[in-house]
Amino acid sequence: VSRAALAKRQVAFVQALTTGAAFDGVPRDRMNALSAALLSRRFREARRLAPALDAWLGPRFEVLFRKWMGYGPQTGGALTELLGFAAGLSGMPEEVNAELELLRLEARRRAERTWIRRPFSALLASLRLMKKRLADLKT
Amino acid sequence: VGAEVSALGLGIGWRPQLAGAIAEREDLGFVELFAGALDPYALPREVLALKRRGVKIALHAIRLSLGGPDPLDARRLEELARLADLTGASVVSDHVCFHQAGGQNSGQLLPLPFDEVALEVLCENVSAAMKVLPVPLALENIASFVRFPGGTMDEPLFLSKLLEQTGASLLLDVANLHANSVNLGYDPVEWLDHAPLHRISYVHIAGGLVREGLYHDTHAHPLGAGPLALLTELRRRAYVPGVMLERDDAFPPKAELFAELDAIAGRS
Repeated sequence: VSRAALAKRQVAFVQALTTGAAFDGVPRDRMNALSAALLSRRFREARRLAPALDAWLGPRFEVLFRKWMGYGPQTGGALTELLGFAAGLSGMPEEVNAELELLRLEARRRAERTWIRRPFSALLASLRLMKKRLADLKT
Repeated sequence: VGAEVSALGLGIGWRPQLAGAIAEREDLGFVELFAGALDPYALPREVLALKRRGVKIALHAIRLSLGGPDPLDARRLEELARLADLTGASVVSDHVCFHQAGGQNSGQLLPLPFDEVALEVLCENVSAAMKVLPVPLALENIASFVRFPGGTMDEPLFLSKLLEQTGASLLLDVANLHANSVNLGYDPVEWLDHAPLHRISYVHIAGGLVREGLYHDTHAHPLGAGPLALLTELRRRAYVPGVMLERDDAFPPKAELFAELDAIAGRS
């Protein structure tokens, strides 16, 4: 019961914060300040991850990134968010492409670390599947 | 009851941009590593060198959302436990806050309602995390521009109950305390008088600035008089086992960084 009651209030708070809406009991100017801080933080994290992209886009980076965030909640971490944003860009110079490729590798490496720690039963299932595919290839 | 954290001494948040300066500073007792930026299979060689010197490690996390209603992310928690093992950390810390609710991630550390319901959920989550982590857990007070409405107790009482019920220790951020006292309008010294200072494992301090009437705890500006004065007030009231500087951006020259370390060590 406690979790459900708390969840209702906290979900409403996060929704208000990420959509720029009002929240009962919180002054509107403070809610706006918190929303602005949230968006700034997300942009700063993205900029820190990709200095070459930052240098290429210059002031356009923040404008485009804020438009892309669109006052919606973050999905995944900062790296996932940056790669999602960058997927919509084109005409990038070589150094930016190289930087993004490294970041994609980093994201993949993190995902693989997760894979290593899957339950043992899942690992066995994967090995059985690989063995079957190898057998299929041989035939 | 949670295990005690041994005295840490003077510390700093380790960042690659500060690695050279940190390596030259011989009086450091510990460095705090940001868990989200660590590759457990390739710790920076500068960090390994510090460990060889006997510098202790504190591991800082921001993503557990301990005060949130969603079940703890078991994978993230296990990863943090593994990082604590691999780094030989003396303590792991996260915040008294939530950033995710109903599966929606705000991307920001958000304040909790200081009431019995939030306390119960937080205590459950903290206790669950402590069972998985191999080292003591410290919990940090956050800075926020707003109070979550509907609270029935003040923050010092909420923290006292939390630490008493879970056995976790307190990571007291005096810069966050300063920020909240300015933005939410209360007396930070009175806050100290009522907080569970006997449960402090270490202290954060950082710079910030006032913009449009609000104090922003930026970690990117010089250390100000407000947080430093609170550190002095804290030392008058309690033993401080460790204190560290957080600097995350606009990195200053070495001389400026060292002067700030001297100041928080009480040597200037």
